Amino acid sequence: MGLNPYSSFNEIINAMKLVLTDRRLIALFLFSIPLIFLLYYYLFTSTALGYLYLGRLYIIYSVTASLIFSVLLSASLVMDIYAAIIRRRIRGNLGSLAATVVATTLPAACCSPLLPSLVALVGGSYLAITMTGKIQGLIGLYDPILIGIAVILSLVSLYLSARSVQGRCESCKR
Amino acid sequence: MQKMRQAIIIAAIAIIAVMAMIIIVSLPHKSIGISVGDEAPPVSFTLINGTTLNLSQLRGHYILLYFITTWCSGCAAGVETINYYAPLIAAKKILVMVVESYDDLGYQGMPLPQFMQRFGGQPRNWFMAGYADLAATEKYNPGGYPDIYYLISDRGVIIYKNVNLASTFSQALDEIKTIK
Repeated sequence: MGLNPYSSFNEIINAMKLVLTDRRLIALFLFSIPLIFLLYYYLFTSTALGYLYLGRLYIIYSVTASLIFSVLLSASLVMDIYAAIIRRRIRGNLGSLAATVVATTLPAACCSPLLPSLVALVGGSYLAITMTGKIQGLIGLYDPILIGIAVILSLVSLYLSARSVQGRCESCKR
Repeated sequence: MQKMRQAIIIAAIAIIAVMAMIIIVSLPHKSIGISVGDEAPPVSFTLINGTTLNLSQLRGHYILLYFITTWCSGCAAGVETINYYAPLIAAKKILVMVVESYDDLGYQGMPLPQFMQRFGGQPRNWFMAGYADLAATEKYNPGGYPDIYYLISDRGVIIYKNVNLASTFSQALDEIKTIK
């Protein structure tokens, strides 16, 4: 069963139209976009995401990625809450939303001291010095690909949410 | 109602996960290895031109010692940050040593000379670059951080230490401005 991008896009738009008839969800959507944007913007710029490739233009990369993730995640969030309000099963969707959050924060793990601290704690200094680069180095060099994967995951999450809002998801039916 | 609560809990967990990541990234990591107030261990580095330099040879100068990896975007931004503050650093007669951590912490990024040429700007005699061996990395970067930096006084004492130079250098500048 292949996905038709055009009909999937329409499905998402229709679901959003349905969800945004509720004033509370409009307010939540409008509130969560800037909040999530600021969180991602801070996370990406504090780790200078994309600097190796783009130099000082990395800021455009960070703003664009933050904007995309904030809109997609906010839309997923309000759709999932709407589906919960109308009592449709959403556990799977929330799982994909949580996975998307992890995927979108992963590129920023490249240059953070979090992973080395954990490795040093578990395996000591030698392991931290010789091993963390193998993980963080890969993340650092391939962060544009990771961002691309994260965007796709965000879209899948949004699509699943849209289907459950419209009751077209088999696993979402009660 | 229960599903609504479940949705809110999971959404809250997701937001908390992002915020926790941000807080951890922002936390100053000053506890592992040598600390402010300690004497700087006199380790040797191999400079890009192949010569060996021991830190003790630089006694009498303030030193900004910056351990980096060449696959790390934050390190590239960090080197450019130093470059940006070059007039102040030069005016305070601080020597800058940009050092690649041992074996690039296990993953080879861009060659160091190329990295320095791209992000370090024009070569200057107070701006050196080289490689750290395992012993030096274990002394100065035991946590295996992508970047960590030290400000060492003319008497060889650590007077400032932090990670993620590009984001935290404004704090180090307060210390640098006090140097006479």
